[in-house]
Amino acid sequence: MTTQKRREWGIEKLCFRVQRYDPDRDRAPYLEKFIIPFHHGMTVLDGLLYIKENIDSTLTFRASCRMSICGSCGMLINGLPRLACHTPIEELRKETLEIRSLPNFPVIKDLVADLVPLFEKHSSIKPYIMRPDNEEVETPTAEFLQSPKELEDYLQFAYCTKCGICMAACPTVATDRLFLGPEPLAQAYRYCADNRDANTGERIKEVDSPHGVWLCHLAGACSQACPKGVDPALAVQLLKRTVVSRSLGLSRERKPAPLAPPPAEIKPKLPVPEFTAKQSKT
Amino acid sequence: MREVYLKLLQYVTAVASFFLLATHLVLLHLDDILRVLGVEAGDMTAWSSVSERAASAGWLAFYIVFLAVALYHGLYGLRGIVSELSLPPGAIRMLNWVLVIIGIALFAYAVYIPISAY
Amino acid sequence: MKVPKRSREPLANYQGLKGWVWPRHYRLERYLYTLQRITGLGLLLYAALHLAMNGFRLGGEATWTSLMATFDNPVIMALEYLVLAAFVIHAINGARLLLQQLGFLMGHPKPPVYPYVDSLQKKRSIVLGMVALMVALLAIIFIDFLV
Repeated sequence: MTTQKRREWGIEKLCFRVQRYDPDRDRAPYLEKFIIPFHHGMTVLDGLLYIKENIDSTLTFRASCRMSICGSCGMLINGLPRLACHTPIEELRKETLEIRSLPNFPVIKDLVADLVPLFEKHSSIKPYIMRPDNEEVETPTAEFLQSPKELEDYLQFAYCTKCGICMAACPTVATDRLFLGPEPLAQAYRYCADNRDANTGERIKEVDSPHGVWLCHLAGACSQACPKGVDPALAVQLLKRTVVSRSLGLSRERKPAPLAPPPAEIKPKLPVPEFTAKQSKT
Repeated sequence: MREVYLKLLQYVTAVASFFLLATHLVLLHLDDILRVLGVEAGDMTAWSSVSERAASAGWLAFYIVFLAVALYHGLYGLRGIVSELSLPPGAIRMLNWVLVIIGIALFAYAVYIPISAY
Repeated sequence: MKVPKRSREPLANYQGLKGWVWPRHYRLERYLYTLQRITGLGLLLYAALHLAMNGFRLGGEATWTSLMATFDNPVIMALEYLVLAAFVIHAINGARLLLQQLGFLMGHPKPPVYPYVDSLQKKRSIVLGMVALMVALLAIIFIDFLV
């Protein structure tokens, strides 16, 4: 945004209404108001860091990379779950921001949500390559063959940073604590679609359960909220298709990607003179 | 029964009840549209019309199939909604049985009426 | 996964039913999800009442005819229209959901390039077409009821 446009917005100060909750002192979370200066290019995380450094050092929140790659700073910002580092305040165009911890996760303190439920559900879908020759996965001797097309079948879903924002947006997670949720289901599909994996059947047993994939009703909020373009809604529907086709016998467990064969021939290096410091002086 | 088969049955009954319910609603409520299409159904809720349908094997079969698919579809949907409310596991199992019993009871009651009139 | 024991349990923060019925900032499909639930429950309730009402048939012609006469008023007509509207919305949206939940009309995975466009956004025209069909049918049925 140019200097002229910033002047047009005419904002000098912002009001941050931030959720506070100290489990040793408070019965319930409340909102505390902070007035902070605004500068062009400021993100919500910049505002929180300013508060922590200059106004109230007890304000507690998670943040790490500040470039939307780690997924730590997920929060409810003006009613939508977002990454604080990835939310420029000028985009919101509001002088007052309301910041709460991610919904559908328990609150530990202030803006810090307890993501253990997410990680437990994520672990339950076996988020790792499983194949008959598991020792090759543990101690690899060569690469597995995977074409660019086969990579594209799951790559989008591999960009997930486990930030939990999709879980905060999902209406089913809002009421059902046992529902796996968009992130674990999307990751289950990521591994089912990966041609290096050969254990779709075991994951299907986990997701085809009373609190599994069939409680997704395609509200689409997860894909809208996802800050990395992972599109978990697409992954979940493709997972449903996989479960149905497997159950009806329309598809079978595929053979996993084979190991790349050793190179047929090794061309010798070109005879280039060896340059050393000692030789270059002569 | 595995969840996937229950869900597939939900999809099948969805398609079936779409056509059956559409026929039922159009015949009973949209007589002007039927007239435009050249179908003179008359007052389908009049006793004479009801008795005429009661004596027809085709309509009896229609209603029995319609009841079965609509009841399954509706009660499975209700089960889905209630099971998302974080009930204790014992309550979910009881819910399943309660819905099965309600479904069978409603089906039995509802088919008794056209069968007794046939 | 071994979780360390905490001295104090975190505070529960689930949105609950508000998460179902308050889609405020979200897009069309989230609103359609809420509408699908409401129309489904409405149709189920109507079905239960309707089946109960059908029992009056066992009372003979006089009972049946007097019951039908009580239904011949504007309030009941308005409620009947609502039932038809609920059917139209639930059926057409349900058809879209059936296809999309089986992976059709959703497109293929593609590595995301900023600004991200998810599959539901890409297929928005289908959903808008479906909504237009719903509105058209609701209008036609309304005219039938009025005339």
